[in-house]
Amino acid sequence: MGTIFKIALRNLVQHKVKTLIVGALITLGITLTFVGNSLFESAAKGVKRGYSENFTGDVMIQGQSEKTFSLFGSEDFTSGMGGEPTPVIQNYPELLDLLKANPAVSSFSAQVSGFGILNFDERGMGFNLLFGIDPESYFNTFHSIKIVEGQMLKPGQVGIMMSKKRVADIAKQNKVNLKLGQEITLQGFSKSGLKIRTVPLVGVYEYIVPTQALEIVSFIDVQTLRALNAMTVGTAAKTAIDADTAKVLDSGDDFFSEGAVSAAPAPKAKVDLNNVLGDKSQRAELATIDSGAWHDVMIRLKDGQSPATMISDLNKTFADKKWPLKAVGWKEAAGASASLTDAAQVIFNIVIIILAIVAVIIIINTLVISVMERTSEIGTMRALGAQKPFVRALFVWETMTLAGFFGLVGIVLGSISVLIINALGLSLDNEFLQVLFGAKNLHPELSLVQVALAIGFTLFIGVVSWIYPVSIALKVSPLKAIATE
Amino acid sequence: MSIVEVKNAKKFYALGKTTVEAVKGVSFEIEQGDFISIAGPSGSGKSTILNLIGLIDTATDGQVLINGKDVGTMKDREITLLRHETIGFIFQSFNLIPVLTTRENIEFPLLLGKDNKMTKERKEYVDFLIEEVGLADRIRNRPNELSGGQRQRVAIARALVTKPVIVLADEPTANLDSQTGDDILNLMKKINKDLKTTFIFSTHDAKIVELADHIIRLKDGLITENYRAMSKTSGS
Repeated sequence: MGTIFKIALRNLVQHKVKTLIVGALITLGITLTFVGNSLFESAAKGVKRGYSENFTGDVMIQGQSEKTFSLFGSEDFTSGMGGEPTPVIQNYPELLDLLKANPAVSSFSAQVSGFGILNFDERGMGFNLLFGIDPESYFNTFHSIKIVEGQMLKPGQVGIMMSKKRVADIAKQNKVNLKLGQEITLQGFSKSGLKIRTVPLVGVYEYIVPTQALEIVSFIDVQTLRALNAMTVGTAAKTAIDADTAKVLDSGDDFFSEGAVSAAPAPKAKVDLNNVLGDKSQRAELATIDSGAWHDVMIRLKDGQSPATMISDLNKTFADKKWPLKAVGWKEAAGASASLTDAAQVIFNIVIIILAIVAVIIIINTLVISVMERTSEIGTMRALGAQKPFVRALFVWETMTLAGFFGLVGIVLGSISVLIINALGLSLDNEFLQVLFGAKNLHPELSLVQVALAIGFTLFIGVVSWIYPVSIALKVSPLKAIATE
Repeated sequence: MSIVEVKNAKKFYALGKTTVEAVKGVSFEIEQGDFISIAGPSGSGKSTILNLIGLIDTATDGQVLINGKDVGTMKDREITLLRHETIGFIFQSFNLIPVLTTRENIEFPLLLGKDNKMTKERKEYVDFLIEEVGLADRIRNRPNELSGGQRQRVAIARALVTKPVIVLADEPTANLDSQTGDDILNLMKKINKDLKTTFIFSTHDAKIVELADHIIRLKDGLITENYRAMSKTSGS
């Protein structure tokens, strides 16, 4: 082993130019991967912190649906405005009792999500995501904002709170300088049609941890948002179908079959149309806002509690109790906006993999040339009695030493780069990059995971690089000791 | 006792669409302790025969027996092992490992066998060989720091380090000046006498042939003469 390593090492030193070219490629690749992934890892941590501390909590509970919903509503972007309504949480009172009794829960708050079109008449309109909240429990759960003007919404108060950036954007886009107390007209679209509500601006705030995805969100009293979303008592009641009706509805084509028609029960008495039309209770029900309707419940856990365990436990409980609810993690709760960093990291790694493939091809090519130039040497070794495993070991050591050394240099350079960026902070002026990385300044941190990944990547390059050149080396006949000279 | 038996060995090579008949069927035996010259002009087949005896090539037809073992039926691993244990090589172009020093080059074959530990006895033998070939003051030098003659001396010591029964030398003096060539030949002859090692070398140099005690002459892939220095016999 010692001799093989000695020969491998000396060969690398002997062929300095080749070694340095291949080494530089490996170092560059590892450094780029290391720094890039460190940036993304810290960005992911920042995004998680920003989202879970600001608005998703550690665990979120939502109504069951075949469609995907986040805190922002439907994630099905094909449904458009007024599309698929977010399912309302059933069994809300029982759920509250369950959460209150759970020792792992630190705090929780419910929320209704929706949107409103800000109507400034001749000054135009603006799209605004809305979180309908119970201010007391919400701001007890999320210490995400500080008021810079006005005040927090109070329990039972009708009004809207907007971020300072949102107010500035409206001033810029609509030439409307919003003042405290100013009435703002909101239009909501739902399957029930257009709803219009006017609410006063009660407060302007800033996010303590800047979270780009939330800048377009405004907090509104929940009852107003329910009205804009047309979340009425009647709507909820309509969804509660008794078992017999469901059975008929589920029968599909048979619903119109002869048997089904003949089996339909005959009316017991004549229907008095005047009575039916005169009964306004259902209409009143449809117009009454359901003050118990919520879309999501966000839960903050106590320190040290595992969100994954909580999600699993809750979902098991929901299944046992047959509650049409599901618990999800912060990322699912945040929806597509939080996946942006993940997607960017995947794209980055795809680019790195493509670069790695190119680098590996160059390395393989260089090693193949090296083998071709050394056929006489390999042939001599074989003639002197070297078995094939010896020749294989020689080239494996050579490649792995090359990859290992320059990979290590890459890790060291990458670590130094990360430490420098951490100390100086990488300022992101571009808004897209701010959304992507979840912050305006990046302070990547060294992590063992990244070091382990870089070592793995180095080993991968080493292993992949030697397979083909070694296969050529193994085919070198002892005859080459004589034939080439 | 014959340590090498070649029975009607043939070696054909495909060269494009034609077949080159390098050796057309030769038979001979080599005794232990022989200092044997395989002589002939270029293209006569002497290097091919050396390759067959050295187990670095296989016969197209016929048999090659080393120490009574038919190498034609052996697998690559067995042939490599037999080559390592039985045969030493001295190449025309020295073929030293460029990144190893004189001493490391000489020791190299010892590290290739099953038992590859450098025992005290082995170290002493390496020291003996270094003294024998006169390179005691060059043990730390790499091949590119040695003259042609010194390199061939390293190659001779390397060929002997595993104590092989046969040493094959393919035109060992071809790349050396005449004085150095004479020195190398005298060294090989001395080792042949002292260690009873069988030396088989290919050459077309008449001076080398004169030193041999067994001469096989080739022409066009066939043996024209096969004789011992004292008693000449006809070839086959």
